Amino acid sequence: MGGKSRVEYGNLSLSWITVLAVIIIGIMSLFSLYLGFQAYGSNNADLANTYIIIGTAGFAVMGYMFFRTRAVPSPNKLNASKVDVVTTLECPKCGTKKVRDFETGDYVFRDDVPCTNCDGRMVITRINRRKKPEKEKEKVEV
Amino acid sequence: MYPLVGQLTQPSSDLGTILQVVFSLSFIIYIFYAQRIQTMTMLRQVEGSLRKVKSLRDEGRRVSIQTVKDIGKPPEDPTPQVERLMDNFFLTPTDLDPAGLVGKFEQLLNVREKRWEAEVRAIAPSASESEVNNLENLIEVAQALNVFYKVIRHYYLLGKKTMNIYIILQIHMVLPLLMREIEGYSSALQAFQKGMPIGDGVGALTAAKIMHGHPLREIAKDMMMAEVPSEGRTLLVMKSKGPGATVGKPADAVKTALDEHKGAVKAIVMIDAAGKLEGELNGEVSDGIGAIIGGTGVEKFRIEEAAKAFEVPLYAVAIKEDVIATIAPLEEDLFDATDKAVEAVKRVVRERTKEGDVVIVAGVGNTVGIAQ
Repeated sequence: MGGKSRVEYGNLSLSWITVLAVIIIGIMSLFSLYLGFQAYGSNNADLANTYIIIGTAGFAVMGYMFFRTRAVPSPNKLNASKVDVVTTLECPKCGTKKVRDFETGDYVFRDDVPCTNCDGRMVITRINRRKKPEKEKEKVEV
Repeated sequence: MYPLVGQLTQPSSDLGTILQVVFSLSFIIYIFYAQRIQTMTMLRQVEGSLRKVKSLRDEGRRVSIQTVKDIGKPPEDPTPQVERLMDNFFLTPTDLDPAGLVGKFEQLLNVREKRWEAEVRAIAPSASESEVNNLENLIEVAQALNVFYKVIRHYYLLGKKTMNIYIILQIHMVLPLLMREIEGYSSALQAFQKGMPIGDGVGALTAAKIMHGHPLREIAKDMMMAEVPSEGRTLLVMKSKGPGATVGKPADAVKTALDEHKGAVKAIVMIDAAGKLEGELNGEVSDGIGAIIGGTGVEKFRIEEAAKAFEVPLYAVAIKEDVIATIAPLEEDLFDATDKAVEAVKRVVRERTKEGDVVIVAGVGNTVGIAQ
């Protein structure tokens, strides 16, 4: 997949061909814009418009290439997603309720965890993912 | 625009000539190579996804091997065995002659199940029964990620080789849906590695909430049952045997319960997770008619056969969830939904049976991280 011939820059991973193409198009587009503004200065509006269209199109192509490149994520960002899971324990004897991070060996209805408040045993009553902060709800009801 | 383009034929400088030639050429190239450019763009998108899937596949392999080492304490490096299991495949029976197909399918599934259990036990001699179940599921997830990777890679390489847009289009069209499933599988790695409840376990959890505290017995392989009195009825509540990762044999359990109570059972209520449609709420509970159970269809067939033989109506309670949530660690909304499902089961029993009736309540799904 061409993984070795790539340039790593922050979160981006660009192929050498893309980098070269972006540089060439960039230089030509800049030059075209320069010529366009120069033509305006010489009162040659038609020619100026042509150069400016070419330059702008070049920058649009660059933007598109950049956008497409972002579709290929850098390998160091590709890890399996891990989520926070919490365990809720309740003591049937003294009513103590405790929420802590999930530990290997926890399961729902496990009842041999010593209570931190009395000599009873706590029961695991819930194991679930920690809720993510609420995102803005979709505004359009369909 | 056209008068402006016409300026291209009136160059005023050498550089202008070059730019105009490039501009004209780009039009000509686009006329002839538009489809090829589109093909290359799609290939690049597929490549991006393939890199991600490869990374997840490698992670699945690494996690599986490490967990086998940590829990199973094998005397030798289990890497070759785990890799062999990841490449293992299952062939469904031919449907050229459909008569007796379910029996053949079931027999093959039983062989597969026994082989997997034996293989995992062999590479993880120190693992307990629950841990063996979790390891089996963990390696199955790694295997699924491996298959996803190989299929996507196949279409990518074939598309690259032929540069045929229709070959690439096939994988490109389904890629967003595949990536959602793959994301779910990658979350399942964490769940099976640590033994956390997953979204698919909501049916088992609902049953566990009803049967908890009542005497239990193993009614079929990996299936636990408790007799629970409720509003004058007797509920035969069953679920797979937790907290290890297993779905058990619900069809065997239902059939045994029906046989044992010879005509006294007046209804079967099944609870399971169901895929939600976009727009539906996660954890929405609804009820309906029929055998609600996923998988290959063998268990569903057997339950329907048993219900028909005893003329017992089948009712279903569904807990709606997203495909990603099904094998990922259990979400809070889904955990809360099991309380609503308990109420739904009680309502169905109250409305559709009389006092003194016996009702089978079967919680279906993977019971990892959920005891009874």
